[in-house]
Amino acid sequence: MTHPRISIRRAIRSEAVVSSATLVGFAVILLGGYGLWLGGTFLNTGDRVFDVYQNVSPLLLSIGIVVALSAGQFDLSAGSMATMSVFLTVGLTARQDLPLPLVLVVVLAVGVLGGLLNAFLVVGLRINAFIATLGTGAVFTGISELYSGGQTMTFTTNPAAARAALWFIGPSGFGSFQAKPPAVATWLVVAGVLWCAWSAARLHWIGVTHGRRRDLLLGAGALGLAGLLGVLGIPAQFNWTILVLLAAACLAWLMLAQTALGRAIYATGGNPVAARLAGIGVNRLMVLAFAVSGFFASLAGIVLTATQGTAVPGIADGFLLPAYAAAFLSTVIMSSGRFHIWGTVAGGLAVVWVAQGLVIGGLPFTWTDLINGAVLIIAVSLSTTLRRALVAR
Amino acid sequence: MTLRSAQEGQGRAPLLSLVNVTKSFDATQALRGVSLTIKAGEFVGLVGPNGAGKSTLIKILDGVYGPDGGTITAGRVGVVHQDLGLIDSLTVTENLRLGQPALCSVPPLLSAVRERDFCREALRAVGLRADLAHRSVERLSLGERTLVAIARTLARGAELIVVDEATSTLPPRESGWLIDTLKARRLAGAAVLMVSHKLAEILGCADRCVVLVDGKLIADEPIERVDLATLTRLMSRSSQQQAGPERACRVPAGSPLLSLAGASTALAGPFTLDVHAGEIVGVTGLVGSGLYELALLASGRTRPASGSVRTAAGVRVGLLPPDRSAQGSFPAESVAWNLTIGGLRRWRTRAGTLDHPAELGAARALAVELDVRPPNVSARMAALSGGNQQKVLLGRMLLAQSDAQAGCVVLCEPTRGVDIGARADIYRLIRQLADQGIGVLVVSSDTEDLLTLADRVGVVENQSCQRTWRPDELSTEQMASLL
Repeated sequence: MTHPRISIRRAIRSEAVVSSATLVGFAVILLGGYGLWLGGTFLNTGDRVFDVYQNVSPLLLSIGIVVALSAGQFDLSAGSMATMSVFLTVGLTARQDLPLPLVLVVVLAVGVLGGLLNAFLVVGLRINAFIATLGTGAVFTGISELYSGGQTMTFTTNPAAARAALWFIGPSGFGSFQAKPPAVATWLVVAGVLWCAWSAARLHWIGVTHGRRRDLLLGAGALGLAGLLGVLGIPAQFNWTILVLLAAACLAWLMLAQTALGRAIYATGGNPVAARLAGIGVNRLMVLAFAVSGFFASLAGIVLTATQGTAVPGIADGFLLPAYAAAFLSTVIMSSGRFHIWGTVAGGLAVVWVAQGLVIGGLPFTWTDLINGAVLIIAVSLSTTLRRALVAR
Repeated sequence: MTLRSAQEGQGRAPLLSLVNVTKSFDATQALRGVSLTIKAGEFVGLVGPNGAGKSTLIKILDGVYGPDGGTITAGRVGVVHQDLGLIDSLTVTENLRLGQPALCSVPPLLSAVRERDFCREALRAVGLRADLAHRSVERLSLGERTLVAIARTLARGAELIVVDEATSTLPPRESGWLIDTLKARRLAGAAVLMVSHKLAEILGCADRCVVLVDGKLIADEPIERVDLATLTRLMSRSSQQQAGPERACRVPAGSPLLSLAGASTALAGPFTLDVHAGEIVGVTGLVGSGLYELALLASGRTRPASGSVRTAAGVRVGLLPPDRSAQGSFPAESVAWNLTIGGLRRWRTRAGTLDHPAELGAARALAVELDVRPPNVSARMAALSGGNQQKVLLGRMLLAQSDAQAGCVVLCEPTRGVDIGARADIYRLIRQLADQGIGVLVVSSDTEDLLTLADRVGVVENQSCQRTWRPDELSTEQMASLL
């Protein structure tokens, strides 16, 4: 039996490519525009990788949020969960004298438990997710305040614990930008990211004729990209937390885009009734989505502890808005109306760089929130309009 | 009484007059020259089989559609739709005032006194107690809700009240109450056009009966000149013409694949029926009669509160949901995605990822087999016509089924919103399924589906269905309730 197949030329005109072109266009405008305006002060790989380093936490938060959003659920407690995780990481180590590796496991487990609490309220008791997670968010903030007495908590109150935690918070530790991992580890993660990009592109062009030629072309593209990154010396600037972010993004993308589980999560978010009637365990998936969101929120808290070394009240609460901005940006870049991990990472960085460029150009840093808000609104309006246009077609 | 009011009607100016009204949608001609006059004081019953154009006619009267041709002269027409159009969480007063200019004594503050007086008046007109005014609609009985909806149309000054299937979901006592109220309004100078599937009810309350078949009014008679047998004969003429080629009726053999014994949910039941291999069992009933509860029970999507639903060993029951857009399709996703979402475990690789090329190949093959057009499985679901979307959903169900030992499927409204060509394709597919030995339960409010397909027919009445008949065993009354 012959099936209609599409040629490479027709595939290039497809919607998937058009939406990837949105990203490329955006990057060209951003880098080109700022490059022309600010020159070397903006097009400086060290500084831009440092921007990434500073935003690993909100980006990790947004990865969890994207999983929840893909299942059709809002998790507004993620920021507070990250803050609570910072307090727990510092407090359990410095005040309770627990060994740091154990503390990290406990904090991640608390994140999952927090997600399960959200799931119990939303899926079990059928409370609106907005209200339920707003409520649990306040509870998490309250727990942080009760635990710390409303004060900043540091490792230094317990010198022995601080010494033992040097691998985590020290100047050459996990959270430091100066400490670079071995090249093998860095390139392993970069290879993972490039493999994801390669197989994502293959997936977009799955219908084209000449499958071998396509795979070779894309493979050459991925190797070329690796070479370019190497020449520019970008991976050499990555520290441990950036590797954690990239690895987490790879895993989350694999789960959402490449497994039956991810497909079922998107189905749940797309039309829960249809998904249930098609035999998908919708409630189970919503529970899973909240648990994943909680897990990533606590991971974001751990990374933030490693970079900051102290627990300040409300330290991660403000990450919620940029994380949601990134998630909603993913529906317009690299994807057609769907929440998407790489689009979220790219979108989050784009927002950061838009603001950073303006600050380098002389705008006071106090404008950052206004720019973030404006970008979020524009992204959401774009994604809504795009989705409506596509569904109507 | 009947005669007198009809004579009174003679002298009055018509409240509604349709002359040669036509309306078509794409290729379908819904109304082919309908002429109808209704005068003050008349109570007219409108009957016709499903798809005859009744809803189109009502929507034209309501101003939802404009006619393609013909002229309409109408006074103030108020339509009470089957779903009533009330907002359940609001009170009766709020519902009655909805969309009306605010009643104020000191604008912009609403005047409770004026609203109370208004509601007292409106509720009295339909014989409801004034103390219902502050109750929320969700706490009213179905009959009370219907009367509130009628009160609302009256309060807006309607002279002709069009009631669409208002009694279909009511228990007998409440529908009697409703009809008495409508008769009282007729005596007060309004006219009533009542659309109902219950022929006996129309015969009991109307002065005149009009029959709409295939978009044409084929009869317009005083009620004394028609009886149940005449109406049934008039209405069934068309469906027999449209019926597809005959299929030899199968006699159920062996033990059933699916069997419901007194199964019921909190809302509907009990249901008792069996589906055997290779057999097409059809169940019909009005929307809201418990039809879809039966489908969900039979397919195992809801658990029975009492009674039992049994399937033979190894049988997985597939379900085609009744509401395509709300319960079936993922409009923003591709056709391939929509086809495979119910049976992804087949393409799971050892690493846990999906084997995309194999999945796509299977989707393509299935799309060709089902004759989905356009045959491009990367197209978005939303880009397909209703009939083709329905084929995709059938395909999804078949894919989810195909690794079970023996198949059984529950198809809800398989031809809803589907044009004639796709309808024939879907009938062919369903017959093919039965010929392959799959047990098919068709649950449809469109009786044409059943008359064309089914080996045995059941009817859900008063939330219950106890037995099935061969189509040739059906009595006139049963045929009448089917049409």
